[in-house]
Amino acid sequence: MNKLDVVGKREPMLDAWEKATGRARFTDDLAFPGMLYGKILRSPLAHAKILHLDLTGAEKVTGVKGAIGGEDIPKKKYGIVPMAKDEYALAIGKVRYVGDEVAAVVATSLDAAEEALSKIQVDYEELPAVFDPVEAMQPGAPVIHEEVHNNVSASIRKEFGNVEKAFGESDFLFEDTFETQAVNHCPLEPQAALAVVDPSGKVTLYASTQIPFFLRRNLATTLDIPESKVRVIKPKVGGGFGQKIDLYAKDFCAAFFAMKTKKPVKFVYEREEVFTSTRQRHPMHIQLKTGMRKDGTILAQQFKVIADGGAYNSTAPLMITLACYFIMLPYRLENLLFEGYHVYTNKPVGGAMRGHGIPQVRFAVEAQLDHVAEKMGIDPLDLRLKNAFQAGAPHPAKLRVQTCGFSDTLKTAAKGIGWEEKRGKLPFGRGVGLAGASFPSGVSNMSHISSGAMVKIERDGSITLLTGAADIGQGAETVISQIVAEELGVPLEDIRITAADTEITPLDPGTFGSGVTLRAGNAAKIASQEAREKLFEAVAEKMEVNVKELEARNRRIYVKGSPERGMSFKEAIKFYQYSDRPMPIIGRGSYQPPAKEPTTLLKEDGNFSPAYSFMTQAAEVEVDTKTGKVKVLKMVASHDCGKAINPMLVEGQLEGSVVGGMGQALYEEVITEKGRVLNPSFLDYGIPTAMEAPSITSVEVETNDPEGPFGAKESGEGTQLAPAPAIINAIYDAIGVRFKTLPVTPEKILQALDEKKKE
Amino acid sequence: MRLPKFEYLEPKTLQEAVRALASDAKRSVLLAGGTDLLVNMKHRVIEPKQVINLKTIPKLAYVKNVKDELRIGALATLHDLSSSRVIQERFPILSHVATKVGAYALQAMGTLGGNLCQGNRCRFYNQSAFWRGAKPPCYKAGGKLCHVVRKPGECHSTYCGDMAPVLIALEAQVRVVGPNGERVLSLSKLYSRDGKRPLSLRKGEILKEVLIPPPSGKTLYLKWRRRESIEFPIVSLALHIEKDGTEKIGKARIIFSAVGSGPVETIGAEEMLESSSLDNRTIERVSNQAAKEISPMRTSIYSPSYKRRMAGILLRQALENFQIPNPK
Repeated sequence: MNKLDVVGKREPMLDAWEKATGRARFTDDLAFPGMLYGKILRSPLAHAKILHLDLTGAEKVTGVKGAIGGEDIPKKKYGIVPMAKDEYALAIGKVRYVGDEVAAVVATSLDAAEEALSKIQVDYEELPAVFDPVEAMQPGAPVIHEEVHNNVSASIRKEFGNVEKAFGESDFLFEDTFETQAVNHCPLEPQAALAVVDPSGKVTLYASTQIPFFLRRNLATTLDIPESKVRVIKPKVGGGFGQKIDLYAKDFCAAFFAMKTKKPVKFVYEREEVFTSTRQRHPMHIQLKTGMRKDGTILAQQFKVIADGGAYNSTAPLMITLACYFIMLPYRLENLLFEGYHVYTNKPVGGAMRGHGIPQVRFAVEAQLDHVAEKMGIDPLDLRLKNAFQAGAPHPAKLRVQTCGFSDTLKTAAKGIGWEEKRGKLPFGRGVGLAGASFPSGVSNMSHISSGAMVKIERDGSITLLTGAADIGQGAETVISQIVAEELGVPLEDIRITAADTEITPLDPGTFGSGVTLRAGNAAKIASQEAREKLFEAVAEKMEVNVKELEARNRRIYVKGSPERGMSFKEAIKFYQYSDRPMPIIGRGSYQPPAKEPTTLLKEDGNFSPAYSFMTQAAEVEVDTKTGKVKVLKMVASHDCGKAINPMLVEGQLEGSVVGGMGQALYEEVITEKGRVLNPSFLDYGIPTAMEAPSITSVEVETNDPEGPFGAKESGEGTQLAPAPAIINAIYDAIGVRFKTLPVTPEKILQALDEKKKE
Repeated sequence: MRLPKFEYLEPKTLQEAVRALASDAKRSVLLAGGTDLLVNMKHRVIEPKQVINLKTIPKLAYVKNVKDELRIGALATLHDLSSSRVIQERFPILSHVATKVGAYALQAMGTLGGNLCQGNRCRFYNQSAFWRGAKPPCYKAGGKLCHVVRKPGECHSTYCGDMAPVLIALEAQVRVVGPNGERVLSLSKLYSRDGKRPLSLRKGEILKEVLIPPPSGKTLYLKWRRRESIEFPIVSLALHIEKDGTEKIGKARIIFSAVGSGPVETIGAEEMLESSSLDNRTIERVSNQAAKEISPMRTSIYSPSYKRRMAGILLRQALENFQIPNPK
C-alpha cells in the first residue's frame, strides 16, 4: 500500500476542543423561543392494570399546555426490530415495570411540568409480578404480554455439526453455570429530545440518538404521519453504547406535543430515568457444556441461555441470535448446540449494549476455557492459540472471515502482560489472565443498511463532506474526514463535515453493530474518489496525461512519481472552472456490504458482516486478601482492527472498553428489589472512576481487510467482550478461586477465601 | 429534578440567622455548601418553608490557632481544610480526611459545618419522590412506618459523615449559637443518635465553629467503599491512640461511621485496648469486640453482616498499622 498522509495518523478528534471547553452543543443546550418543557409520569408499580387516568388536575396547573395518556396517542407499537414490536410510547391498558410510561405533560416551565405530574390521578389494579426469568417461564407465571404465554418472547435453538456425537468422542467434558448481572450503559448525556414544527406541519426532532434515520422511520410510524413529515437532526451526543438505538417516549412525546401545541417542546431524562426506564445489558443465566479432545481441541459446546429481558423486547431476537453465532468465533468450533431464551420479567428493559448479547456468553466461554486448560494441564494461552480461528477457514454458520489476526492478538497481549514470567509465578494475591473475542464490523443485510456520502470540492479548495454517520462521541466524523482527506490529498483541516441530518445528509443506518467506519467510511471513500476523478479529468487534459497517471497529495495533483509535474489543488479547481466544466464538483458514494450470502442470521445462516475484528485482553490484578478488594494493575488490549485509521481514537475505544469491562467484572450492577432499582444514581451505581483505572497498553494488530476502507475493521464494540473474563481469569491466578457470577465484589472474594480456608 | 418552592433569606449576621431559624425552626433549613440539602430538597424528602443562606454572613470561614487550640469556622470548605497550611502541619489527619469526602467538586462546595450536620441516610429515604411513591412515606419522611424494620415510631437511618469520627477521636468541641447565646459542647454530644432528628441542637441553634485541642497521640482514618471517590463509606473508622509512656496504650478512641444513627464509639473495645500492649492477640480480640459492639441496619445496598465484618477488618488493619514503629 502507498504511504499514507492522513489515514493512520494520531489526529485529535475534530470536536475535541469544542467539547473540552464546554462549547459543544448537545440537545439540552438547544433552546427555541416559546419552548415548552415536558415530563413523563412513570409507573410506581411493577405490574398493574391502569383502571383510570385522570389528567384534569395536571391541566389546571398554571403554565401547563397539554397532558396526554396512552389513550390519546395513535395505537402504533414500536420496537427497533420490526418483528418484535411490543411497546407503546405511553402505556395503554397496563404497566409492566417500575418506570413504565403512563402519561406526559408539557408546560411553560419545568417547575410547572413537575408540579403537574403530581396532580395526575391514576387508579391501578396491581397484578402479580414476576422478577426472575426462570420463574417467568414456568406454567402459571404472571403473563406480562397477553400474546406471549410463557413470557418467552424470542428464542433460538440451533445446532451446528453433531454435538451429541462430538461429546461421545470427547476425552473430557466440562459443565459449568454462569450468571451475569444487569449493567447500565451510563452515557454521560442523558436521553433528550427537542421537537419543532414548521408552518407546513413538518416536525424536526433534535435528539440524542445513535440512529437518526431509524428514529425518523419509527417516529413517523408511531405518530402515524409520512416519513417526509419528519426530520431528525443529531446534535452532539454524549455517549450511547447501544442505549440510544431505541425510540423512547421522550422522542415521541416531544414530537407529538410540538405538533399539537405548535410550539417547540423539549424532554430531557433525569439520571434516575436513564437507570430505570431506558435499556440495560441483559442479565443471563448460562449453562455451558464443553467437550475436549486430549490434544486440546475444542470439539463441541452446548449452551442453554436464559436472558432476563425485562418488560419489553427492544432487540431481543437479534441479541439472542448474536449470542449464539459468536460462540463460533474466535475459536474453531464445529459442533455447537445453542438453546437461548429471551424472557419477559417486570423489570427494566434489556437492550443492545456494547457487544450486544455476546459479552455474557463470552465471559462464560473464556472463564471455562481457563478451567479446562488447568484440568488438562495446558497453558491457557496455548489452548487458545491451538483453537484460534484462522482467516479463510470454513465457518460452520458460513461467516466469511477474510482477515483474522486473533493469534497475533493473543501473542501480543500475552507478551505485553508478561505471561511467561508471571502466570502462576506471582505471589499469592497477584495474578494475570487473558481472554479473547471476535465481533462483526457492521451488519451486511438488514433493512436499509446502506451508507451514503457526498463530497463537494469548493472553489476555495476546501472540502465539504455530507455523511449520515452518527458520531456519538467515538470520533466517527474525524475518522471519515481522514478518509476523505487521504483520498483527495488534502490535510484534515481542509474538510468541513455536516453529519446526521435526515433532510440534508445521505441515508445511513447509524451507529450500531460496530459498522460505522467500514460502512460510512467506504461510502465517503467512494464519494471522494468520484469527486477526485472529475478534477483529475480536467488536470489530465491540461497536462496531456492519462487520468490514471495522476495522484493527489499534499494539496497538489501531479503525475505519479514526479511531484514537480503537476499543479496545486486550487489551481486544478481554477482550471476546472475555466474549462467550462459543470460546477460544483460533487462526488457521491453509496456503500452496501457485498451481498454474497448475506443474512440477518434471524432466519438462516450466512455471512453476517463484511469483516470481523479479533481481540485479546490481558489483565494483571492484585487482590487484597484481607479486604477482598481487587485492584486491576494493568491491562493490555490487543485488537485486530484491520487498519487503525486513527490510532489515537482506537486507543480511546480500547481504554474505554477496559474501564467498562472492569465495571462489569468488579463494580457495576443495577440492583433491583421487586422490580424497583435500588441504586439509580451515579452515587450508588458503582461505575469505575479515573481512580480505579489501571495502566493500559493498547496494541493495534493490523490485518488490512480487503473490504474495509484502507483495510479498517471495527474497534468499538468488540473491545468490550474480553476485559471482564480476562480480569476474572487473573483473579483465579491470584487467589485460586473461579468466579462464575458477576460482579466479583470484595464481599464475594472474602466469602470465597473463607470457603477456601475451610477446604 | 427541580427544587420545591421556598422563601429565601440572606441574613447578614449570625444573630439574624438565629432569629430567622428560631421564628419557624421546624419549617426552616440552613444552607451552607448545599451538597446534601439541595439533593434532599429535589427528592422532596425536605420541603422547607424557608431556606436561610449562611454563606452571606461574613467571617464564618476560617482556620486559626488560638493559643494551642485550633478553631475552624463552620463555613470553611472541605477544600479549605485539605489545603490549609496550618491544618496540614498540626493536624495532617484532618486534611487527609477532607480529601476522602465525596469527590473534588463536593469538597470545593461542602463545608465542615455542613459535613458534621449532614442528614442521616437510608435506602428508603434518599430516593426521588417517584421512587418513594409506591409506598407510604417512611417515618423519617413524615410517615408512620420505618421501612427498614417495618415498625412505627423509630427511624434507623444511618449517619455516614467522614469528618465527625476523626474529630470526635481528637476530642473536638463545637460552639453553637442560639437564641439564648452561645454554648460549647463536645462534638460527640452534637449527635442525638435518633435517626429522625440526628442532631441535638436546640431550637434556633446554629453550629458556629469547631474547636480542636492540641494534638497528642496518633490518629488514623480508614474509609471502606467500593470506589476511591464519590461514595459515602460502607463503613469507616477513626482510631486514635496515645501511649502511656511505656509500651502500653494509655488512651484509645475507636469511632465508626455508617454503622449507626450517629458516629458510633465502641467503648468496650476501647477499654479492652487501654493498658494493653499491641500484640496480635489483643488486636484480634479488640477487633472482634468492636464488630460485636456495633449494630448496623440494612439502610444501604450493603448487608449489616458485611458492614460488621468490614468494621472488624478495618480496625485490625488500623491497629496493625500502629504496631509499626512509625505508622503512616
